[in-house]
Amino acid sequence: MKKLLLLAAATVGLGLTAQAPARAADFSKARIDVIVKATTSQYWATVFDGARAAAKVLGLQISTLGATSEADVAGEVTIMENAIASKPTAIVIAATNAAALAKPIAHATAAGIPVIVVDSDANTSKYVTFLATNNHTGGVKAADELARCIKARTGKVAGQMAYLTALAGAQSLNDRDKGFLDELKKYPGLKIVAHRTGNNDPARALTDSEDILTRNPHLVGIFADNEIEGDGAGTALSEKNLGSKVCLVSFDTSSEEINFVKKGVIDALIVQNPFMMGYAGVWYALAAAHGVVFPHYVDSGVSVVTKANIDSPAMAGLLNPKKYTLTPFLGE
Amino acid sequence: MASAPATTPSGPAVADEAQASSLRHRLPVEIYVLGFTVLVWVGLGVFSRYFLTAGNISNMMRQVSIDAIVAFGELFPIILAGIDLSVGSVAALTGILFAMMLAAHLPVLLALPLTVALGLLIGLINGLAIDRLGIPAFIVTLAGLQGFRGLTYLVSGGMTVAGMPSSLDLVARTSIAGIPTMFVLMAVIGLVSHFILRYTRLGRYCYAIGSNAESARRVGINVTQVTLVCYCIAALFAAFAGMLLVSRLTMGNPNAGVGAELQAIAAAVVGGASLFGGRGTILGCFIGSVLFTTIGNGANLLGVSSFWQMVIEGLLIALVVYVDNIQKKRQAGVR
Amino acid sequence: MALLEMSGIFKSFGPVEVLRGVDLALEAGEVLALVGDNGAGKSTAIKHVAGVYRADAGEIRLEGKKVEFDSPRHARTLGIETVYQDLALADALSVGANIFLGREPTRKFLGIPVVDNAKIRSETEALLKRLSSRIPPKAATVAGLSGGQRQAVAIARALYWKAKVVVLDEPTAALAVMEREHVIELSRRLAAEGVGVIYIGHNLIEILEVADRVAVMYRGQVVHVVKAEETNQQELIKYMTGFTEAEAKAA
Repeated sequence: MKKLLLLAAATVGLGLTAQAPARAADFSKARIDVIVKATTSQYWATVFDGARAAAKVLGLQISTLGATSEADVAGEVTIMENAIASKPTAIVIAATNAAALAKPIAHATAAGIPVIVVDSDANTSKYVTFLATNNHTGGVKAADELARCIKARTGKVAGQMAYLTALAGAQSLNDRDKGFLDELKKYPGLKIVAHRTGNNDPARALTDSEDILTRNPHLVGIFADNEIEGDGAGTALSEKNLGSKVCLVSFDTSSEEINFVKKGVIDALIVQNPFMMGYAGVWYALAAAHGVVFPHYVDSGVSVVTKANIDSPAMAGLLNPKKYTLTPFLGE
Repeated sequence: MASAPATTPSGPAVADEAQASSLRHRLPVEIYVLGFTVLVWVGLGVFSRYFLTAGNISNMMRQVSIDAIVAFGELFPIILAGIDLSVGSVAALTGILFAMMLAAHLPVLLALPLTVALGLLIGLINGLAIDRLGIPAFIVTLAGLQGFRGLTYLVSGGMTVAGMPSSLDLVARTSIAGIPTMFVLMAVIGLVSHFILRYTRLGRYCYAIGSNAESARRVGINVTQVTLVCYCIAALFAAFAGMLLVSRLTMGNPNAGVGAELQAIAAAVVGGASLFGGRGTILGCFIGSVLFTTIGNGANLLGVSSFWQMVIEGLLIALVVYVDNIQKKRQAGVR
Repeated sequence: MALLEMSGIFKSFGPVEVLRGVDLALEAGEVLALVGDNGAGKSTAIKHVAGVYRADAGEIRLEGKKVEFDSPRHARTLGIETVYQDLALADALSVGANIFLGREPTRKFLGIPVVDNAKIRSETEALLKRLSSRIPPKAATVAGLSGGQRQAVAIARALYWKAKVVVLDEPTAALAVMEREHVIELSRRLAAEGVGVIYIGHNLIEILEVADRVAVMYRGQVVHVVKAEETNQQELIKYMTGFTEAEAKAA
C-alpha cells in the first residue's frame, strides 16, 4: 500500500512537471469533494481527518460531505448529484449502496470529474479506482482470530458460535459476514448457533447479545461486524463476567471497544485504515485529475489489534487518528 | 325536586339498561393484551427452557425498564391527542451530554440535575411551539426528532463517549431485593405517573383535553399549562431514559434511542391508548412494553429471524388497533 | 330588577357589525326563548353572557350590578353556565367527572391534593336521582350516552353548581322526539328551581312549549319580546323575517 502511495505521489509530481513546470505545486484552486456514508460516526470522521491531512500537504481545498445516517441512501445520491453540479476537480466517495450510487458515479465520470471510490464499492466500473478495506478479508481474519482464541482457551477449535450483523442491506457488512462464514468452513468444529441483525441501535445490540448468551450457555465465540455490535456484545459479556470464557472479535475501534480489548473482554479488533482511505483518496483524486491512471482496486489493508499489540506505536495511528504519523515519504 | 317527574321519562328504559350492561362488559384493552402476554409467556416457557430462568427474567426486567419509561412519558402527549416523536432523540441528546459531563469528571449529583433541567427545557420548547404557536405536535416533534439527533451528533462529533465512572454501575448492574435497580426505578416512575393520571386534577384534565379540548377550555381548564406539563413530562422521562441508557451501555452513544419514539408509541397503543386522545393508562403502557420486550426476547431465544420479529411486532399493533376498533363500533351500535 | 340584563350591546368583527344594540332582560325562574334566523346574532349575543366575547359598547348587569367578564371561567364563577350545542362533554370521562370538570373537590393524600372520587360519585348519584334521570351514574364514560342523556349531564352540571343563569344553545338540535321532551322538562325544572334560563332554538313548536317568554332577534337586534301564551308561530316568523312591529300587527 505504501508503495502505491509513493507511486501516486511521484506520478502527481511527474504529471505536474510535464504540464506546468514553472509553478510546481499550486493546487489552491483545486477542490475535491469527499463524500462519506454518514457524517456522524467516528469512522467517517477519521476518513475526513485523513482527507484534511492530504489537503494540507497538497495545499488544495476539500469539501467534506455526507448524509447523517448510513441508511439514508437517497440522501447520499442527492449529495452526489449536487457535487457533480458544482464541478469539483475530483470526487472521493464511499458508496452507501452499490446499486443506487452506480449511476451518479458514472455520471460524474461522464462529466469529466474523476471519481475515487473508497471503502464501499458501487456497481459500475466507470471510476478511477476503488480504494478500500477488503471487507471479505476482514471477515476471514475475524474467523481466524476467533479460532485462535478458542483454541488458546479450550485447547480445541470447537464449540458454538454466534455473529451479530449491525444493519441489514449494507454491502460492507455483508462482505464481512460472508468472509467470516466462508473462513469458518475451515473449522468444522465451530458451529453457528445464533445470528441477530440489529438496527445500528446500541441498546438493541446489548439486548440481543444478552439473549444470545442466555439461550446458548455453552457459547465459545462471538463475531460482531461493527462497533455498535462490538460495544453491545462487550457490555453483555462484561455484565455477565463472561469475558474470559467467550471469545469476542469485533470490527472497528470505538473508545469502548479499545477499553474492552485492554480489559480482555474483546480478544481482537479487525481494524481498517480509514485515515489512509481519506488521505490516499485525496492524493489519488488529484493525481487522476492530472491524468494518472490507477489500478482498478487498491487494498487499504486491515490490521488485527489485540491486547498484545494495542500499545505498540504501529497501532497508535489506527486507534487514534490524531496520533497518525505519516512516513517521511508522505509528509512534506 | 324530590318528586318523580309528571311527564314521561326520556328514552326507553330497556335501552338504558342494555347500554349500562354493555359498558360494564366492555373490558379494557389492557386486559386482553395482558392475557395475550401471559399466553406468550406460557408458550415461550414451553418452547425455550431458558425463558423462565432467573437470569433471563432479570435480563428482561432490565431490558423493559428503559423502553417503559419512554413509553410512560409518551403517554401524556398521546392522552392529550398529541404526540411526541422527539423522545428518542431527546434521550440521545440528554444521554450524550450526561456522559460527556461524567467523562469530564463532573460529579453524578451535579450532572444529573443539569440533565434533568435540559430535559425540562426541551419539553418546554416543544410544548410552547405546539400550544402558543399552534403548530401541530406531529410537526414540532418531527422537527425535534431530526434536530435533537443532529445536536447529539454535533456535540459528540458522532463518537461514543467512554470513561464512565464505576458509580454508574450502581444503577445498571445492581439489584434491590433481587429485582434489578433499573426495574425498581421504572416502577417508581410508573407509579408516580399512574398517580398523576388517575388521582390528580392534572391527570383528569389531560383526559378532558384529549377528548374535547374546546370543552376543557370552556370549563376553565388552563389548557396551555396542562399541555406544557405533558410535553415536559415526555421530555423529562426521555432524559431519564437517556441517563439510564448511558448507565446500561456504560457509555454515551449518539445512536442511542434510535426509533425509541415508535417503540414507545407502539407500547402505548397496544396498551390501550388512543392516538385520537382521551384514552390510555400507565398500566397499559407497561403491559405493552413488556409484550414487545417479550417478543424480542422470545425471538432471540427461539432464534427467530430478526426480520420476522419486526413483522410480528407490526402485525401485533395492527391486531390490537383492529380489536379496539371493533369494540368501539359495537359500543356505538348500542347508542 | 331583572336577573340578567343586556343593554345596548354592540359587537363588530372587522367591518361586519353583528350586534347592533341588543337589549334583553331575563328574570329569575323563567325560560326566555331566543329565536331568530341564522345570522340574526343569537349565538354572538349569548357568547357575551358566557364571557367568550366582550362587547364593543353596552353593558351587562347581573342582579342589578354591572359586570364585565374577562373569560368563560369568570362568567361561570359569577353563576352563568352555558350549555353549548355541541354539548362540550369530555367523552373520555365519566358522568361525575364531567359534572365536576374544572371544579373537582380534592382531599389530601400524603399532603398532595388528589381528586375526591368518592365524593364526586356520591354527589353525582344524588344529583341524578334529584333530576329523575335515567343516566347510569356508574357509566364508565359519557361516550356511550345518548344525545338526550348527554344534554341532561350538561344541565345537571349547571344545576349542581347553583347557576343563576343557564344558557341552553339549541339543546334539542340533534335529539330524537322522546329525548326532546326530556330536555324540555329539564329546562322547566331548572326554571322551577329559580334559575333564569335562556333557551336558544329553531323549532317554534318546541319554543312555545318550553318558554315563558320569547325574544326575537333580527339583524343584530332584539326586535320583539312577547309572552309565549300571547303569540303563535305565524307571528314569530313575521318578526324573524324582518317585519316591523307595525307591519306585523297590520298583517
